[in-house]
Amino acid sequence: MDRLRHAPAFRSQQQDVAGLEARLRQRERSGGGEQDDPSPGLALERLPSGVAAEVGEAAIVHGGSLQRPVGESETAGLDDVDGDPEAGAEAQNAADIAGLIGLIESEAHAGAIARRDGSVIITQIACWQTAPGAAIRRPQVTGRPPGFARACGSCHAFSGGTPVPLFLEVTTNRVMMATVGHAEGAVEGAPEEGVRRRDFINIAAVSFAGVGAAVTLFPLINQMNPSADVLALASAEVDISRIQPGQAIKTIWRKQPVFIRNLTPQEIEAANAVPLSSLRDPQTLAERTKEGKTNWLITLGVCTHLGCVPLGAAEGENRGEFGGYFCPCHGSHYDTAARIRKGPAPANLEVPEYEFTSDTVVRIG
Amino acid sequence: MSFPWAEEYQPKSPFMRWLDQRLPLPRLVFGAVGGGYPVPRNLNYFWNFGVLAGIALTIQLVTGIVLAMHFAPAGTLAFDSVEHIMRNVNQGWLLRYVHANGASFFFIVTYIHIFRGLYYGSYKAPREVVWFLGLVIFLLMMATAFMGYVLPWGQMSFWGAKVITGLFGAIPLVGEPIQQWLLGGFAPDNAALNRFFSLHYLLPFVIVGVVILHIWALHIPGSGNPTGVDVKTAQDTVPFHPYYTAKDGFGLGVFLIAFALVVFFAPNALGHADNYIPANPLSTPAHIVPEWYFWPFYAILRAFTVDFILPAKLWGVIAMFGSILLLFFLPWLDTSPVRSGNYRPTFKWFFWVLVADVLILGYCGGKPAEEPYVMISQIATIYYFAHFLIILPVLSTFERALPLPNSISESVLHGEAAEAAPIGTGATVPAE
Repeated sequence: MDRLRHAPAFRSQQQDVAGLEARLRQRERSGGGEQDDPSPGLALERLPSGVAAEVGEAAIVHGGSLQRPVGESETAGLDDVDGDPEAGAEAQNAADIAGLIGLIESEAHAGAIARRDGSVIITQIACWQTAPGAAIRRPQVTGRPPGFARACGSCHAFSGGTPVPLFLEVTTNRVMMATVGHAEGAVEGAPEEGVRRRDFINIAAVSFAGVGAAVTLFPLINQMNPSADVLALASAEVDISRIQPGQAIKTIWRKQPVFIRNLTPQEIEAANAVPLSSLRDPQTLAERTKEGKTNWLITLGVCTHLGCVPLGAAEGENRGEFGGYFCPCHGSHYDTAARIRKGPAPANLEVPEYEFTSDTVVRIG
Repeated sequence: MSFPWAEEYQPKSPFMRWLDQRLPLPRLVFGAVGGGYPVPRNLNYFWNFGVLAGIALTIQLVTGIVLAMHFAPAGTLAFDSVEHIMRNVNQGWLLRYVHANGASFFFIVTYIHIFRGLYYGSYKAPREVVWFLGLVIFLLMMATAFMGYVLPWGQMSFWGAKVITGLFGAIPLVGEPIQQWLLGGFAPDNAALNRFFSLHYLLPFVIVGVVILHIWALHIPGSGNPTGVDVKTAQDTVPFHPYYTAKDGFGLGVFLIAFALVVFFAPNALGHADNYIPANPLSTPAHIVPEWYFWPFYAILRAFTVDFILPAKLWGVIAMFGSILLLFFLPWLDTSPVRSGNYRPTFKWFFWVLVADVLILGYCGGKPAEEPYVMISQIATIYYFAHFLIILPVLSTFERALPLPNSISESVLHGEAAEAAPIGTGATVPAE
């Protein structure tokens, strides 16, 4: 039962409940001070002491509006109903009421006051009819300890051995409230504490609008990502049947140059002869080619330094000191496995994702 | 710039205090749309539409800037680039539909805003300049919307551009050179499309500027209200925030729901299927109409069919522009000192007749130029001008207004039903 959870939001009421014990003791001392109170249900001194000892764990949660905590004076507030539908507000000023469940008119209302271990915190529920003859539904009640029940009209207070949600339906012009004891000290400054209904609505509305605004941002941002026509060109098929050993071609994939090079056995040998420990970005030729196709070196033609296109793919171009590629922009030299050997570039030429769809066709991307 | 009881801006943190001494922008916002702007406490939901128009403008700006990232303003590319937006760009379909229907919704809220002003006398002293600036915004909106509609370069775009620039051709002697100057050619082509794109991007920012002036001018006397009675004491006002931010927020929610329904379920309902056919200079669509928000003016344009001293074509153009320029003279045509139509029993009826008249004009403007629509347009056009040039001045002289409430708060305290009627007459004169 969710309603029975300890709800930190309703702080003032928790304080009311927590203070029950202290208040009860005070009531016991004060003796007959309340003798003229015509509401016998307020005889809180009859609360079993075992209950009072543990009230601090209680929580009061209910679905109606939160009430102002109770003031210290005006003990006669409870019976001050006089057919006035606003009597709930009056009664809130009574000293002996706290944690009110008060509702006016036809708003369905549910409240639950119980302790986690099942013992009862509610001391009283009272209903007043303000319109003669208005029907009051009997709340669902499972038992009550002696001294706690109080009939008022046809409505009963309850208490019981298990956490009992209390459902009160208000169908017409009347005020209904449940009362528990509280300590006077808990009242101080309480109206500003806790969450008001309006705060809740504010936070909920602004959060909802915030979520909406965030969702609205998504298309505005996502529209700048590569569009479907760009993604459709994300892979390219290349026929490599006419590339002779020692030759290379430049092709375009994702609007970037790709070098496809048919390595000669000498170049493969030269690449494999290099000790990995001497490399800035250690990779073997085998790691940079497909198994059984080590003569096909496919790399992006984009220097890893600042993105220029290195030379060496076309016939007669400068292949650098290591016979691979040479970037003229800032002098990076790549070897026959397109690994960086000298110059400012931090990494080897990137090997794109590709696969051989047949012996002579490569699909890049 | 506001009432003496307006709350003064109090920086809440040391940083805001520091900023306030250097750039008092939060102070400006607080005074303009925050707790520092006292607003009459009795505004009804018709006062939501100014804010809604501002939001519609913002939606158009944001989606427009985004769409411009994908649009190519060249005759050979424009149509395809719009289809590219619809098919390829991530959520491009959504952005374009929001932009296209956003224009319609911008006009819907603006028209309601204008008619609100007509009914409650918002154009009267001391708010004449607010009214003029609003009309300038309206004219800029029309120019912007027209040029925006040309950009997709479909059949309606092309022929709309041709017809509208043809209006200028009606001017004697200089008409044709002006038309060629506007188009940069003899018919709409690359040159026209490029400049329309450039101006379509520029004008919304000009609108933003005029909107700022519009709000500035409004804040000098403060907002009007449904009684038309001036604010007298602090009891007559509530701070804009949170009272009207909340009320506008609710109106915005309703607006966005309606907007989303159209965008997601009927995105082309307000457009023309012909505009999904690429522009073809050799074939005119059977029935050219502008977007719906121009229909009333289009009907006035076509209502003139007989030459009278000047050619009929020129009369149509004069009447069409005149129908809007006329509104600039409204503060002097309606000289009644009573602002709100609620207290003008006869004016109130003529107001609703005018609304019906404009709706009829709009209906006829969307129909082909044939009988009976031409005749209806002619009668409705005559009435439109008669309303402003004859009825309003005569009414101002002869109408006997109902007694006004002593103050806004007094009218409010007499309850919702009596609010629209003067004190003591609530029972006999039903509220609007």
